[in-house]
Amino acid sequence: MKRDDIQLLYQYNEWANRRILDAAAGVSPEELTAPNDLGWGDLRGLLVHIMTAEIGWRNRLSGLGEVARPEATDFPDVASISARYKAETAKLWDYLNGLSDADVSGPVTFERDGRQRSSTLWHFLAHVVNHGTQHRAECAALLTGFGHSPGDMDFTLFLRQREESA
Amino acid sequence: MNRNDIDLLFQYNDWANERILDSAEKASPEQLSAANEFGWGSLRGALVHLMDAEYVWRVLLREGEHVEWLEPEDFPDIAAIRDRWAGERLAFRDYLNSLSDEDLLGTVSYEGRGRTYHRVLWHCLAHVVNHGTQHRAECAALLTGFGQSPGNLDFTEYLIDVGLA
Repeated sequence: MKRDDIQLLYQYNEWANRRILDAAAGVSPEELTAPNDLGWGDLRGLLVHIMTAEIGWRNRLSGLGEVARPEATDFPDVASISARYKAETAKLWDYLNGLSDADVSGPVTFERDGRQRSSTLWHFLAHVVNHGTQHRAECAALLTGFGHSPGDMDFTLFLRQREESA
Repeated sequence: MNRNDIDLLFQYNDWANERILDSAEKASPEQLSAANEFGWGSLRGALVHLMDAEYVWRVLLREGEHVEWLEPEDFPDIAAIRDRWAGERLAFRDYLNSLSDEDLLGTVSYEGRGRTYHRVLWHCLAHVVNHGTQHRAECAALLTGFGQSPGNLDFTEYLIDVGLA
C-alpha cells in the first residue's frame, strides 16, 4: 500500500462524508435527534461518531495519544458538525501529506484501553475509512427514511465523478 | 497496493460475511424475508446482494462479461445462501491468486451503463470490499433489531482476531 493509494481512499471518505452531511442538512431538528437503535443514539450521534473516530485515530497514529473528543451534544445542528468536520479534515490531510510510502507500510504502536497495539500503519488507516463506510450506511438508511437519501455512495461512483471532473 | 494488501482486505471481507451469516442463521424464516426499506427488499435480499456483487464483479473483471443478477427467491434459507457463497468465495480466491502485483496496478476495461470504463484493477477490487461493508452495516442493523447482533465488524476487530494487531 502506497501513500497515493491511502490518499485515494481518504479522498473517497471525504467525498462520501460530504454527501451524508449535505443530505443531513435537509432534515428537521427533530429528525436529527430522534432516538434510534443503531448504537449512537440518533442521527446526530452517528455523524459525530464518524468524525470523532477520524479525530481519535489521527491523534493516536500520529503519536499524540488519546485526546478528549467532542460529544454529540456539543453540536446543536448539522452546520456546526460540518464546520468542525471541515477543520478536522484539514488536520487529517496535513497528517496524511506528511507520510511517506515507507511510513504507510511500516509499523506503528500505540496504547489504547490499557493495552499496547501494534500493526502496519495502513491497516489502521484503512480501518478508519471502512469504519466510515459502515456508519455512513446507517446514516444513509436513516436519511432515506427521512426523505433525504444521500444517493449512491459507492467507491465506483466517486471514481466516475473524479474521472469526469479531471 | 499489492497482492498481500488486497488479500488481507478480502480475508477481512470473508470474515465479516461469515459473522453476518452466523447471526442470520439465528433469524426466523419470517425475519429473513420481512420487508424493509433498505433497497433490497429484505434481509435475504441484502445478503444475496452482498454475495451477488462479489460474483458479478469477479466475472466482469476476470472474463469481461456481465452475468445475470442472482434472485433472492432462488435462496429459500441461509443454508442455501451459505452454500452458494462458499463456492463464490473459492472462485474469488482463485481469481485473486491468479493476479500479480503488476496486474493490480494495471488497467481493466469494461462496459457498463452505456459507456466503457478504464479503471485501475485494485480500485475495482477495493470497491467490492467497501460495498460489502456498506451492505453488511444494513444487515447488521436488521439483525440487531431481530435480537441477533453480529457484534463488532470493524477491520481492527478482524486484525485482533487473527493476531495482526
